[in-house]
Amino acid sequence: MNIKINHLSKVIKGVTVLDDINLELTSGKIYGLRGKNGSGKTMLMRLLCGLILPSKGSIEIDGEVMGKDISFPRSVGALIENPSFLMEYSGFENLRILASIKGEIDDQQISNTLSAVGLDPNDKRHYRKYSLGMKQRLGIACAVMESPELIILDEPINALDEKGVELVKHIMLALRDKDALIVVACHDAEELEYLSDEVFNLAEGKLQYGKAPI
Amino acid sequence: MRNNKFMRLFHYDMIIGFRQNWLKLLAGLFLLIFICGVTMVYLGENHGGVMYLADILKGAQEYIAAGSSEFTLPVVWLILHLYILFIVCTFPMNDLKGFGKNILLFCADRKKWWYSKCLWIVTTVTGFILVLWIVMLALSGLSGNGFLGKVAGADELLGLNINTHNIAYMFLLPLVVLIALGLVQSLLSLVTNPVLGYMASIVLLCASVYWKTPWLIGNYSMLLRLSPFTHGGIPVWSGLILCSIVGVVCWLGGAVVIKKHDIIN
Repeated sequence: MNIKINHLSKVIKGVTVLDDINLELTSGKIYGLRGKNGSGKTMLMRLLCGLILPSKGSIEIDGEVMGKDISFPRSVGALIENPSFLMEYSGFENLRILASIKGEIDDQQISNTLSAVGLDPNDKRHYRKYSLGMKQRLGIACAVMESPELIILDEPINALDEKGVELVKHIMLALRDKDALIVVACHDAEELEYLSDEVFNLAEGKLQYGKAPI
Repeated sequence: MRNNKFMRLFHYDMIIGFRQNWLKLLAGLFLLIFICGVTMVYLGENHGGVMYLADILKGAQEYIAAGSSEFTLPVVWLILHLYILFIVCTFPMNDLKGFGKNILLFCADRKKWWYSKCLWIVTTVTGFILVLWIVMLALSGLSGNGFLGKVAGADELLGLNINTHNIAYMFLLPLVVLIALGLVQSLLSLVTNPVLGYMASIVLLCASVYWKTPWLIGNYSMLLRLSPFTHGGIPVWSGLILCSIVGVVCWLGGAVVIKKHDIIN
């Protein structure tokens, strides 16, 4: 997968949240996004997964322009801000409903993904009774369960304990090794630098060029 | 494969739409039983179910502003219509702001998502109208007068000409009007928000009561305004055409809007 972001800008209610972003991302790498609150990290991630459309510029994924040729990347998993799930279903049921849309993975694969993020697939508790950390783990499971080519994770280690952070790191590195393109935003600069092959800084909607190599 | 994805989306909408609205649907069922029961008591027990339904769906005579004439809203008719529109008002947009975002990413097709929601509206409205008829059928059966009963007295009692030929319109017209209004309100909800979408439905229905005109679609849901039931009424065919046009425009218009819609909480 190859993503080209060309002169991308996003204006929301008269406010420029992203300004002339140019980037090229390729498979088999983890890209870190760093920036203060309101710097535009989440907006850039929303644009990458197709939930919002650029005001100017374009995002090309393998030669197809988002919002023109395709509405969403053909293979994407995302955790953006707080995970949204159905309160009255268990984690497994939530993932099964989502997996039923494409019908590409079976119950066993869903169970495996839940186990991989440290959740019990047989836990019958409703999502509303999940702790913050469990909700976060389910969000990550949702993003990675179909082994998408593009994975977008906004603050994936929020609310996770040490063991959870290690699990997530392990999952991300394993997916990268399977040639996935991962974009991750994280407030923890150390973790971000450890995980990412390249780190980009965003400030007031602008990309600070001059990457921080690892 | 493409159709399969749409059917899976629709299956999701039917299951989750039902589960998230079960309280509204249950309350709606009690409301229907209440309305049918009150109508039976009000009209007396010597009539068939069709007569009671006609009373519920008759709406209001044309309002002519003159001297001492007062404008009154047909409360039962209005409550029934607004309740059905209330049921289908919030689910599409709530879904889009919540779990539906995940669904969209997994189905990767904005248009299909919208079409599925439109079909959910059509199915829910149709189901609710069917339930109204079933409740009335059951109650009139229990009262021992049957469904058709005596329809000859409808002219005197309700000011309506009811016969076996035009009973189908009693089902069809409110159905197409409510489907069209449901789609209008959903499109407005997408462009603005569900509250404004619902308010537009209220305004459209109230304006339809006030003005007898073929251009306000609420008129086609009032039997007292329709040509098969009353002398000088609006022709049914114009209602069917207008509601179809409104429905199709909203269905297709929504597909254009959703394509450019930013999905942000």
